[in-house]
Amino acid sequence: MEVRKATDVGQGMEAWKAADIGQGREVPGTAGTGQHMEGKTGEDSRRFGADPGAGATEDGLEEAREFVCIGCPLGCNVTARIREGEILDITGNTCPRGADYVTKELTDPRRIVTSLVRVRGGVLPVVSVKTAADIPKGRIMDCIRVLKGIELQAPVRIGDVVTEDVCGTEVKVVATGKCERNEDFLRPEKGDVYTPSSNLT
Amino acid sequence: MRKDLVIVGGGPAGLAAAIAAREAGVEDLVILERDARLGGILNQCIHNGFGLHTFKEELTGPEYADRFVRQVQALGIPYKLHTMVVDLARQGVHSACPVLVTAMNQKEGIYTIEARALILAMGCRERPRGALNIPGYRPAGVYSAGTAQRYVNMEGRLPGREVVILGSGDIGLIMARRMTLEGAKVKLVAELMPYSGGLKRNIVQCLDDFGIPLRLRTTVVDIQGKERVEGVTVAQVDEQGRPIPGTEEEVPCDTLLLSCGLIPENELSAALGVGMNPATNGPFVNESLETDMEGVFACGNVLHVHDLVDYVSEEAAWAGKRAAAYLQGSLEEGVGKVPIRAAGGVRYTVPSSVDPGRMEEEQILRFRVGNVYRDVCVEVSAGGHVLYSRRKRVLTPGEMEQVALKRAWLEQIPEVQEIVVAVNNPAAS
Repeated sequence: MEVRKATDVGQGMEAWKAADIGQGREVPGTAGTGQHMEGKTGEDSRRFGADPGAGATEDGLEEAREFVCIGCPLGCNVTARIREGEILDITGNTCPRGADYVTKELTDPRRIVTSLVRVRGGVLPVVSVKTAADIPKGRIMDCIRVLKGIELQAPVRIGDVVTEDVCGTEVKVVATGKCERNEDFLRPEKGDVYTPSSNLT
Repeated sequence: MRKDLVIVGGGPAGLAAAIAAREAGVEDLVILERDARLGGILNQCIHNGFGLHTFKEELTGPEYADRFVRQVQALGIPYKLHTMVVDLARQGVHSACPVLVTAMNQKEGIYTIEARALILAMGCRERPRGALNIPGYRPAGVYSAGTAQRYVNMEGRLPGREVVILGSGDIGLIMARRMTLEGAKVKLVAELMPYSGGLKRNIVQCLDDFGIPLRLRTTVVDIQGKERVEGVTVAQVDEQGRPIPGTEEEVPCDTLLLSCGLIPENELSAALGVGMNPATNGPFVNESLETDMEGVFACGNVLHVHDLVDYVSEEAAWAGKRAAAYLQGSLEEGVGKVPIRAAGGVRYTVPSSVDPGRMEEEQILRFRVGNVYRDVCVEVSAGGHVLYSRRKRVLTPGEMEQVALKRAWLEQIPEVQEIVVAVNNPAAS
């Protein structure tokens, strides 16, 4: 597989408006540390059943923060009690991943990023990719911008390394889909004629 | 042509069913798939979160599909691509092959297969605009969320730059993030109900992470623009879901994505005449996932819409195994069908009946509730005996629940007439 920088990112997806991403309102699961806890909006608290300030002690230093664990689709409601930036305890998680997730959300929130890179000569113009591990949440848009500048040459196989170290995170980006070469995929003698529009139904 | 087993659909359900049937000894089977490749909708679901139950790792859709496609290929299971099943019909009751499958593709034209057994695995479709009663013209720029997902993730096209999403189903939430990452501005997600229709984790990582507002009890009441969407009008709704006059708000946008529910695609099942459950829009099935027509099984989203593909695979594997037992004449002699009644907040169960004589040690019952419930008990009872009771902190319509019904429980009760699955003390919140 040949990796090269694209000079032409093609139609449709070249515009990047990253400025307003990831810097929105404070919501459960986005605060970097325990010091930013007051920022929850009423809308969030309604949605997650959390009352801002619920669990606060009289001196106002102890606070309960509600999270929805994203470790798996169960989406456990996990509560962390925090005092002066220290996590006192974590409850509501049904597995150890829940505690890990909340600890990370309070100290170093990270996400796996899934997106696309362009492919030349493939049966489809793009192939799906992911970061092989989670990266700091604040670097998501940087990662996306890097991926926009990459173009692969078909064929691409699942697991092919797209870049060894995305944005200095020491995390690889790997292909998650396959993209056959156009000439390999068109096999009319087998009845396998591919046209994008034939697949839209 | 004759086949022991025909599987309609090569998505996650069809693949898992085929693998299980072959592993149980069915040699003569075929998967019929209308798309250019196996894997179904997983091929456009490039986000992660698939396979945690099945493979204990977090895969993307194409990776998850590939695991199953490789197994299908390794087992040498035949499949036909670009092949559309256009009709299913019953043959005479005395026929060795009760189902006549009519299919077509470019190479073979229209042809028929006589099937001794059939597995329905056609998946589901998105509820379209026409089913939503939104007034306005028919401008370009209105897409179902899954269509937009296909354009973005497979065809490499961005359907628009300023987006409003109606409905908070999982595909809509996932597309809110995808469109944002691809450079579009997602202005808001409007949800008619007072709760989201999607998984909680998707609200966190697809909306909250990107500061995209979710407006509950809100709907789109008008679409502006004649050639292209120029904006939508959103309004709050009352308890009955009716727009409240005076709450309208104009939101300029060029694209409206619809994520307003999925409907099992059962035109073929209806043509075959199997009994349909109005609560799921899928067939009624028994413990073997067999419809009310002998030898016809159903699994995956054509049976009922799932949240997690892992459960689709699990369910489909069971259907494949039972279809194999049916073909081999080794389905146990039943002792009688016991209906399962969904009550007290539970909308439906799959299966909708069990035969204790045909059950394994444990039978998974899957169900959804009709409202958001907090601090309630899920109870399974029969003949006045509570067989199972478990406290739940929260139950929502957006998340499928399951309980494992044990055969031993039923054996304790003489003459079981009915099994009831209910939410106890359902105080809707």
